[in-house]
Formats: sequence, C-alpha cells, structure tokens
Amino acid sequence: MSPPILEAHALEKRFAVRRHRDPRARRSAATSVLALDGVTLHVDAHEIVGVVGESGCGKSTLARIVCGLSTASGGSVRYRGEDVGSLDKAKRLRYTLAVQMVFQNPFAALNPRHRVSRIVGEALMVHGLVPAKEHEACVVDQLARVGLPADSRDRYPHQFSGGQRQRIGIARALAVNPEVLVCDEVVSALDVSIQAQILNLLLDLRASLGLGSMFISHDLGVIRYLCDRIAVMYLGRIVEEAPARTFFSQPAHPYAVALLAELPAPVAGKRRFEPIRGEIPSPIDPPAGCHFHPRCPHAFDRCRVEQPVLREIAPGHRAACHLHDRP
Amino acid sequence: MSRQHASAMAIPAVGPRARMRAFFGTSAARVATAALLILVAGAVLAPWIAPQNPFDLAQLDILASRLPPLSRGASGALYLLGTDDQGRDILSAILYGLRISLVVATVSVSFAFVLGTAFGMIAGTAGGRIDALMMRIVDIQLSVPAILVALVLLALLGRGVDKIIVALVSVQWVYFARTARAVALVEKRREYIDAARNLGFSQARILVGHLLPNALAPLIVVATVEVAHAIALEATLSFLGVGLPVTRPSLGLLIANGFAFMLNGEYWISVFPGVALVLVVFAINLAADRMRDVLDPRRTP
Repeated sequence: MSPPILEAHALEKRFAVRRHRDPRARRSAATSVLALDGVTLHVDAHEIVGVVGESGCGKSTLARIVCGLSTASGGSVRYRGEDVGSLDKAKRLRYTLAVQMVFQNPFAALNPRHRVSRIVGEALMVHGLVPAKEHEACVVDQLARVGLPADSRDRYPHQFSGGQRQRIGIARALAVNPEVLVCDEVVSALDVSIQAQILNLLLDLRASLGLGSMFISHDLGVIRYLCDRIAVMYLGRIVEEAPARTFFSQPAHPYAVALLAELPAPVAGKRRFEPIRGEIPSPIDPPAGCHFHPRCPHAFDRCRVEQPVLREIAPGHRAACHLHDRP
Repeated sequence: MSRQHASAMAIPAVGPRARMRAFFGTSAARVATAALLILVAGAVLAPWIAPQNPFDLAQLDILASRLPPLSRGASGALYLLGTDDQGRDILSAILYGLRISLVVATVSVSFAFVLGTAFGMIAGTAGGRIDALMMRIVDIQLSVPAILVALVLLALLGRGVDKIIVALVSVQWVYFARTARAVALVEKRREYIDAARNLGFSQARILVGHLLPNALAPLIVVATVEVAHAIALEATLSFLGVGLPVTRPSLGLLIANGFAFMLNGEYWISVFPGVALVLVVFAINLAADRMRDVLDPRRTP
C-alpha cells in the first residue's frame, strides 16, 4: 500500500507562555503550552477527513502545520511518505502547492488590493504552471469550477459576497492543482444557505478531481454531512478516530458521546440541553491522566493518573479511553 | 451564483482611469489639484514668467527697496506684491522660492519614503531580535530633536541644496520606518499573507507585491505631513543660517528675511511668501487625503 498523500505523525506544537501576560500562567509552573500533543492523522485521495473539537483544542494549529504555515515542535508532517522538513527546494515547492489551505475568514483571506485574476492566477505565472498564453483561460476555468462568471476576474474582493469570496479562495487553491485541501472552518463565517453551497462545491470537487480534504469544524452537523472519517480532538490530543458511519452510530469516547448527545435533533418535546459538565480546562495546566476526566461521567481512579493511549478498538476505529481496556 | 446575480451588483469599473474620475469626484480635490497645479507650474516656469530674476543682482534696484504692493519702480516696472529690503520683487522671489522649497521637500521625502519604508517593513516582518534592534535605532534617532540632528549634519557637511536634502532624509526616514513597521505588523498576520506563503511565493514577492500595496495608504498620509515638515524644517535651517545661501532664497528664508520689517508695517515681505507656503501645504494635504480615499478600493465610492 502506498503511503497516504498527507500524514501528520506524532505532531507536537509547543507555544511559550509569557507568564507576566497571562494570569492563568502565573499560578502554574509551566513555561509552555502543548497545543498539539502527539497528533497522528492521515488524508488520502478522494477522502474527506473531519476534525472536530471545541475552540482551543488545537484544530487550527494542526491545519497550519500540515500546510507548512507553522513548524511543529516535534513529530513530522509527511507528504507521500517523505518528511517535509527534509525535502529539497523543488520537492518542497511541490508539497507546498499540493497541500492548499482554504481559510476561515473569507474577508481577510483575499488581498484587498489584488484583482481576482491576480489572486487566482499569480501562482500560475510565478511558478510557470501554465504557458503565458493559456494563463487567462486557466483563470477563467478555475472560476468556472467554483461557479463564478468569467467577468469576476476584473473585480476586487470587496465587490463580492462572503460566499463568493470563499469560492474565490477555493479557486485560488485549485489553480495550483492541489492533492489535498485543508479547510479550516471554511463555512463558519457564512450564512446557512451559503454554507450548503460551499459544502456541495467541496463534494463536487472531490467527485470531479479526486481531491482529499482535511475539514476542520466545530459543527458536527456539517461534519456529518460531509466527512468520510472523523477525528475528535480534545486539548491537543486526538481522543477518537472512526469512519463517519461508525462514529455517529457507536461513538466510543465519552467526550464524543457527549458531543453527539447535544447535536440538535428533531425530537418532539425536547426543550432542554445538557451541556458537558464543567469548563474546558486550561491547556497551560491540563489535568493529569486523561485530560477529559474532570468532566467525564465514567471517570475512575486510573483516569486520574494514567494517560490513555489511542488504540484500535475495532477495524479503523481508534479511541483513547480506559473504558475500552476492560475485558 | 448565476451571471445574473453578479451583474445585479452593479460594480463600478476599477482602473487607473476610473480612479482618476473618482479622485476628482469632490470639489475639494478639484480645487486643491487646481491650486497645486498653478503653484507647481509657477515654480517650474519661474524663469520664464517671473517679472525679474531675484538671483541676478544686476536686475535688482536698491532704490526700489521695501515698496508696498502694486507700486512702480523708477524704471516703471510694476511690483505686484511689493519689494523686499534689497529691492527684490516679492512675486518673483516667491516663484523662485517655491521652486527651491518644493524640490528640496519632494526629493528628500522621496528618499526618506523609500529608505524608511524598506527599513520598517523588514523590521516588522522579521520580528524578534532583528525587529527590536532596528527599532531601537529608530528610537534613538527620535529621542534627539530633528532640528539638532539636521544642525549637526549641516555643520559637518556645509551648505548647499544637496547637503540639506541629506540632512532632511536622515531626519525623516524614521517616521516612515515607524509607520511601515506598524502596518507590516498588522498586515503580516492577515490570512491573505498566509495564503501567499501557501502558494510558495518568495519572501520578497510577498513583501513588495502583497504587503506593500496594503501599507501604502497610511504611508501616503505620512509623506504629505513630511512634505510640510520638510518645507518648515528647511526654512528653519535657512533662517538659522545653515540651510540654503541667502542668494538662493527658499520660501522659508523669504519669510525669515521679512520678519524684521513686520513691526514697521511692511507686512508684504513676510506675509506673501507665508501665504504661498500655507497654500502649497494645504493643497498637498487635501489632494493626498483624497488620494488615500481613492487608493483604498474598500472605500471606492
């Protein structure tokens, strides 16, 4: 079996804590925060991998590192099996272009002073991806792919709506023939009706181009609609990873169970929601053992001292919970 | 997303010509540009349109000194704005003075703009120790009064147009450096810069092609203020006798020359060059303000 296109292997990201600035940090002895703690995840062609978790769990950090926008403190990002840190210049560029990010905020992600033709076409020109003569036509092709008219190319980003800008962002990424799109909360800034259009566009692109995607979101409804495989993150760790169907029918980790329980469902008479007990702990001073134990309804002694490892509990289904160790 | 939807948004054409049209959309901009054009034309064409060459001592009539506006000299020449203590026609002196003031100010501000912006943007994007070191240099320069730096430099270099330009540039680049750094710090965190990095663009391309255009608006404002500063600073230096020679009077020097006669009621020697100075600074300010509005596509009317 050939290695996956994009793979995060035991990724760690440590941020220094400025003690004098952060009141939470004064109470702890820690000098750094582990935003990612041994995250392993891969994306293949034709596959949409969802990453869910509360804000602050490290989803966006993961996205930035696999795209090469930040560097990891430990572990590695592998592109077709090769550690991207050790690639030569030409291969490095190939990796950079192969893994394209689509950004969360469609208003900040497009350069306000560039026309759409430059936003989408600049990389084609700079890297000589298409002959100069076909340049214009290629830009129009990319715009057509995301459902924008050809005359969009002479306009500036501020002349478009949020959904249209997100399409321009996708066209920019598509122009360099990527293999994986990393979508960081790409629909959370959009209206629900527009969200559906963008999600359908992503599904169409997978069908027509065979693109793999890492789809990061806090919205399980969106994840359910889109993803083939789902990874749940909690305080910098992946606590469960499963195929979508299994995940929604038999979640294994208590955190995943709790998240799914609160997914709004049309149940007659249901008027109350049970939030997960307690606050998400500070990542500066995470709980010992299993990070989730202070909020977990099933926590027992072992959870307070021993960190559970992510292990396979069924084919393709991994979870990090001591409950699954019991016979 | 149909064609219909896109065209329904009625987007104004954006381009150099459309920008020009937008620029002249307000009467303030039209008046300012007209005033500026007249002043600049007067300065440029001074040798051909001025009644007299104020630098040519042979043309000066010492008997016609300190004549009030609209009086005639012995030769019958009309002194529209009067004459100064050396019998120099004030109108001619203003036209020639404007020429010197404008050249000195624009040349020095241009150099300061390029140097300071490059310095500030490199500091802002590099961050960390490089940024700290570069900005301490700026702080040190700013902690010493500009006039003092210029005075010391001119004392070392001597007098002359090129020397005063060097002095002005070395005083003014810091303002551009500070502004450019501040803007770079904000803009480099924007997602469009991440997007450019994600497309594998070189650092230089991102800096010049992506970041700089978004940093221009505040820098233009600084440049305007600095043109005014340059004119004022040059005048001060000339007044103190280390700037331009008295035989080549700039606007500032003309004001200084006439200052002594203000109490005698001979206001015209100082006031008319002063009015010219205020006009030129005001017109540049108005035009630049409008330019900033037009250059920022988010604010295109």
